[in-house]
Amino acid sequence: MVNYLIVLFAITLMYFASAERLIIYIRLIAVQGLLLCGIAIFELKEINGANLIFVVSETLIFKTILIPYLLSRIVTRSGISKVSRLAMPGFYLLILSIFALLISVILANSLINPYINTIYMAIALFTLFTGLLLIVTHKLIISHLIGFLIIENSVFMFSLAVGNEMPMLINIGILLDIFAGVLILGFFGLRLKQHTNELTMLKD
Amino acid sequence: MRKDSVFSKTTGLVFQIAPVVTLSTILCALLVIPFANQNAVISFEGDFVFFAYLLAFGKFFAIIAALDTGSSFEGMGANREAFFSMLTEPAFFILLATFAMFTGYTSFSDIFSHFFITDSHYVLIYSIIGFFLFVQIAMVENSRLPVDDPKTHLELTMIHEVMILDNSGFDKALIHIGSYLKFAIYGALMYNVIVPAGWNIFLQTALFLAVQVAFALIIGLIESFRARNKMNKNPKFILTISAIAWIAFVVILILTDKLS
Amino acid sequence: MTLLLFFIISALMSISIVLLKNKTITKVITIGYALIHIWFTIYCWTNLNKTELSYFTYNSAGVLLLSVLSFLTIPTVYHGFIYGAGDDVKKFNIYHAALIGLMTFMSGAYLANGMTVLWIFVEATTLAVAALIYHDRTEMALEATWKYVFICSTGIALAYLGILFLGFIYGRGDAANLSFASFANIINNANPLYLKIAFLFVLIGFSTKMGLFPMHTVTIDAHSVAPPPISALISTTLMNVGFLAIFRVYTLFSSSSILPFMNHVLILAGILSLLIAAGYMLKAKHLKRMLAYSSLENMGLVAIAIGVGGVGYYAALLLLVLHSLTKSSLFYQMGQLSRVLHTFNLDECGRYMKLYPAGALVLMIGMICILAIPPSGLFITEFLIFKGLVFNDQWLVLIIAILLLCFVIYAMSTRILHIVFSNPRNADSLRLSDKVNPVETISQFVLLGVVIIMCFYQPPFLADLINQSIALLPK
Repeated sequence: MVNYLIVLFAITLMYFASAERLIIYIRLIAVQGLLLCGIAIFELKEINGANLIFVVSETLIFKTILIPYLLSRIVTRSGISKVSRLAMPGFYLLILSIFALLISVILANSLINPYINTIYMAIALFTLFTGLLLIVTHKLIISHLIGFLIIENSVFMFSLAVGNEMPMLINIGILLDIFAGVLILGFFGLRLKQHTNELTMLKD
Repeated sequence: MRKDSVFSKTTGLVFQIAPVVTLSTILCALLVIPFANQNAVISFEGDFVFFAYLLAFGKFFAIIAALDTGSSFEGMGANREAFFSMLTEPAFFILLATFAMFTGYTSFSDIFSHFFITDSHYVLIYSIIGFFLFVQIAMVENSRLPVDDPKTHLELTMIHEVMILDNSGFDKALIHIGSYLKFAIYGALMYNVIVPAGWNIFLQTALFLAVQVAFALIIGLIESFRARNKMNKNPKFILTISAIAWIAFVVILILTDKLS
Repeated sequence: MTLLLFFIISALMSISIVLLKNKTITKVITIGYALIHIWFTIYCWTNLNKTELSYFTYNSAGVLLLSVLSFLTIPTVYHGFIYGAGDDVKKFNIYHAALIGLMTFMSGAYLANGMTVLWIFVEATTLAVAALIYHDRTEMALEATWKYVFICSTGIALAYLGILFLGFIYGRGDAANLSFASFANIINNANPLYLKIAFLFVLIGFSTKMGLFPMHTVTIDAHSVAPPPISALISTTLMNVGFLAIFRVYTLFSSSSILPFMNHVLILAGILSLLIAAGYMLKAKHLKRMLAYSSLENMGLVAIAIGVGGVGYYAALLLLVLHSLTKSSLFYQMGQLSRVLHTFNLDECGRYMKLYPAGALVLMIGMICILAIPPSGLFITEFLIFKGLVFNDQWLVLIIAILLLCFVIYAMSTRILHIVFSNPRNADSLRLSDKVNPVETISQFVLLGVVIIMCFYQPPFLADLINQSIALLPK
């Protein structure tokens, strides 16, 4: 069952590379949160009940509901285009995304470890690369935020992979998530004005 | 006096033999496709590569025939056609690689006769993925909507039509027949992916015809409901098909536990 | 117990500043905090290598950098009062509350003995610095704050990935206890590929804080936009926090087989930092940006020093300490420069010696110190680094480093000499300057004086502490 969820997660990542509208990005983030919640439920069988409830509820509330809601408020309030603008044609992002998946599969095969399942390693690495690619190729701040959220999902997935043995690591990863969500979205997202959607002022 | 083919004065030998070469490569490629658990007429290890490159050979001749006419429009169309074919080629190969990895054989006949025998619950997923991808590849290879509009009269937006602008008469008929046959080939491949190879032969024949008709219906529906893509969105659209094929490959690696 | 007390008192002070809306009380509380911080550092000196609260150890490297922070608290607070003299109460209070928070978090990060606690405190410093950079509430400040928060968060996430990889090596067990001591036993059996990846992630992640090559851009922007006393703090002590994180992981892995790999990576990052610093400093038109690039250059030198090994370890730590003192004095001077000349733009600054001789003298001496021209203490450290490079036969690195440092010397000295002696290039931009009291430069002269004295005489307690910090590294 977990394998199906991980597969769906990988499909959402590839979808990021080919989608064009920001609303799709936000919906994909919500779907990813839901999938991670499902993976957490099915995978973490060995940690105690209170910790499991905390992890699952945090994933559900933060990643699936709260953060996409805040993001959609930012998008509608700033009135920026529904189309995300890229620093390079979208075609190259898709090629890079394909290569990222290739590299992550190869890396996962060479990093075999008795403690972590190879599938988790491959998809988590792919998530990391997709997040970095999104940050590097997009010009809008919202897209950077979404790339950062994807990197957080990658960290969460890594910590889920060893979560049965080291539950503390998941909790600290969630701490990162809450910190980023509250600070970035709450304070700055709602205060950024329309014309600061591209960071162009500070340069040499 | 009967209607005859008209050849432009700027063309040479290549232009005259190209339609024949195209049709003959398609007919040869037909010989590789199996049906109903029998071996195909020509069958050997790695024959799907032979198949893909036969079709590419035919397309190559079409392209250089278009260049042979000396018209810049046809050159533009040839350029686009070559580019889009290059973008779909990974999709086809990765899909066939998935099938080969999953069944363990590398010939069309062996792959399809062992496709449904292997004992795993995921075969239905492969069939659906294969069907979907073959529909998309067929759409691109045969220059249909939403990649290319065969009815457009705006020359700057033509892709395949502009390559055959200068053909006439019997040659044009050959090209069109080739296109129909390519549809039939992809329909046959789709049939092989969906229907298990061990069933009764009469049932198989009936299902074959049904699948071809259904394929035609699907293409018709897609063409009726979609508009042609903007030209600069086309490469991304086509590359997405390859991306889907690649994801399908990784998905199947995961689901069959080969990735550990 | 003392540590807990320290944290609780800082938290109470910080909260009370925000709640009590009175500038004088804020000033008193902040000075009180500075004194408590100094007292705490003295306490740490007397209790070296003691572990408190099971997550903090008063280890030598941490105490060394903590002392640097303590030394800088009083000047920072003093210049902060002068800078914020015209602010309204709310801005003033937020500034000082965040300043207290920043110094507390940095102290916690220095003293942490495990990777995760260190990581949490570094993350907390990002929050505090964000509030401080945004103090001016201009558009540029907003952009710099956003970039800082965003890229530091990304860096923190990457560093967390590095910690996770460390955790994979650790395997089963109670991983909240990821203290460096408990790792040392299992490093020898670990898969070297995992160690390499963990080190790379930690280096890239903490390079946002240290200001080293992969993610240095955010520190450049932050230092050029923040208020000058804060720039003084974050371009010195905060970079030390980043360095300490990387240094701890380096020390941990130095007994394994990936030591040559780590050295190569550090030297590469150092050379690239030097290259970028030299290149951009030749173009710099904004004074604080020029100083920020100088910080980048010094951090590049520190990375090269660690990568060289041997005598380079001593040089790296000494360079950190001296750079902190010098750079902070230069940044404090920038605060006064802005009140005299009302601009940081190079084309509009000039005749500083005529307008404010004390400050111009600070600029000249500070320039000599930071460029490692004798009698600066940084000269000793650079000399040791070059000596280490020659011992290791790394001639190419040596030649490239020296060449890039020449560019840096040229860029910085032409700019500062121009400001101090020549007329401004835009002749119409002479504005009326505020009367700035030369007494304010005393703190900067003291700091520069210490640096110059260190060139000739390094006190034994300092040398001992540095040697203790590098005791675990291979010779």
